[in-house]
Amino acid sequence: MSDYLWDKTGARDAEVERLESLLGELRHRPRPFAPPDEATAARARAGAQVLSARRHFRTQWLAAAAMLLLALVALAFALLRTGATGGGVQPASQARREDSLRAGQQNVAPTLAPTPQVAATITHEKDKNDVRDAAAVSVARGDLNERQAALRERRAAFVAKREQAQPPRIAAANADGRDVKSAAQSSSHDDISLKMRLAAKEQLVYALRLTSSKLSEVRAKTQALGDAKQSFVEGDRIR
Amino acid sequence: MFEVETSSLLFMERERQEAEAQAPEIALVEAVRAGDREAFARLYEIYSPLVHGVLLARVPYDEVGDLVQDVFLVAFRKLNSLRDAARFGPWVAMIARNRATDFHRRTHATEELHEELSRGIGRETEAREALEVIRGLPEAYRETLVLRLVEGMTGPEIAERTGLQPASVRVNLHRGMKILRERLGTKGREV
Repeated sequence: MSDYLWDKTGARDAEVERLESLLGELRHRPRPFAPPDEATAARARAGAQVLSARRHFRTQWLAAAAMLLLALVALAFALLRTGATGGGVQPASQARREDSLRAGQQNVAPTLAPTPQVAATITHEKDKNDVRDAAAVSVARGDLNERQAALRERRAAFVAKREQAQPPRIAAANADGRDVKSAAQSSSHDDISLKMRLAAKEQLVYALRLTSSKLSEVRAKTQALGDAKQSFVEGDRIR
Repeated sequence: MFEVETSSLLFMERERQEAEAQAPEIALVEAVRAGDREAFARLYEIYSPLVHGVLLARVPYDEVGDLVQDVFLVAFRKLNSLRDAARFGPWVAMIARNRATDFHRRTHATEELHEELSRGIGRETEAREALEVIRGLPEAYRETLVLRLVEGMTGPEIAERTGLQPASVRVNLHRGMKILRERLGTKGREV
């Protein structure tokens, strides 16, 4: 093994010598090196610091922009999700309408309750079968008619409101397949409404029967009076 | 007791002088840190062949001169970050390698075209061709061979200035030379 390649000692290697000679053309030719003075070095350091500060500021700005973008995306996602499910947020008009409907149910029920009392009073009078005063009977019948008419109007208004309010909601729930809970609640509301309608119908039928019986009584009395008058007139004529 | 302390101090001073004699860059680096600009010029004289060789193994010949200056400017500015003054050589060689990497990152691939082409084949042209062959060798061999064949440094000098183990430098030299012979078409005797 040649030592000439390692430390230039020992037997010379012609190939290595030839390469040394050839490649020596490219050897470093020292140029005078002047280290920068302090002012230049300070300027270079300051420039490096400014560059570093700019880079730092740019990094901070990018981080802030990324956080802002993320916050906006999260907000948009939350808004879209709330709007899609319909949960949590409910239009104020719809809430007011439902409140008014509940209040209407609570108001109608007590109004319907006194009707049997009136009917019982009339029934009691019927049972006594004491037609003492035709004028008093007519006044009582007029009062009853007024009450029945008012009741019918309120009930009709309530039914109209329910029919306006409920069908779109149930239809929307069925069409979209969402808000099943509210649909179930509205179906229970429908059951209650149906019972109330049936009760009102029964009361109405009862009131109509009562009214017709009273009318027939009055007609019978009127007819009896007419017959008596007729017989009286005919008796006078006979006489 | 005073005599013992004096003798120990003298012994330490002698050790320091011996270390500085073996590695003069320690005193030079300390002098530069103290503000001696001439000391850095001396460091440049000693280590510029090393830096030149490291760069020549990686970048085109025409660019090497300016890059050597850049490397020493960086070394001058960052000398305070050097922990061990005795490792100035490996440290500045690493700066040179990083600078060569930056050079290739920032510049587009170009074909080196030198003036001798118009004047016919000259000795420098032949030298550049041989250098291109060396650049085609594995990285571990090309730097060692350039320092040996171009810069004229011996194996022990290469080991000392680059911080590599002498045995590694020796192996790199011999294996690299063997491959270089094969590639130059001069299959001679075994190195």
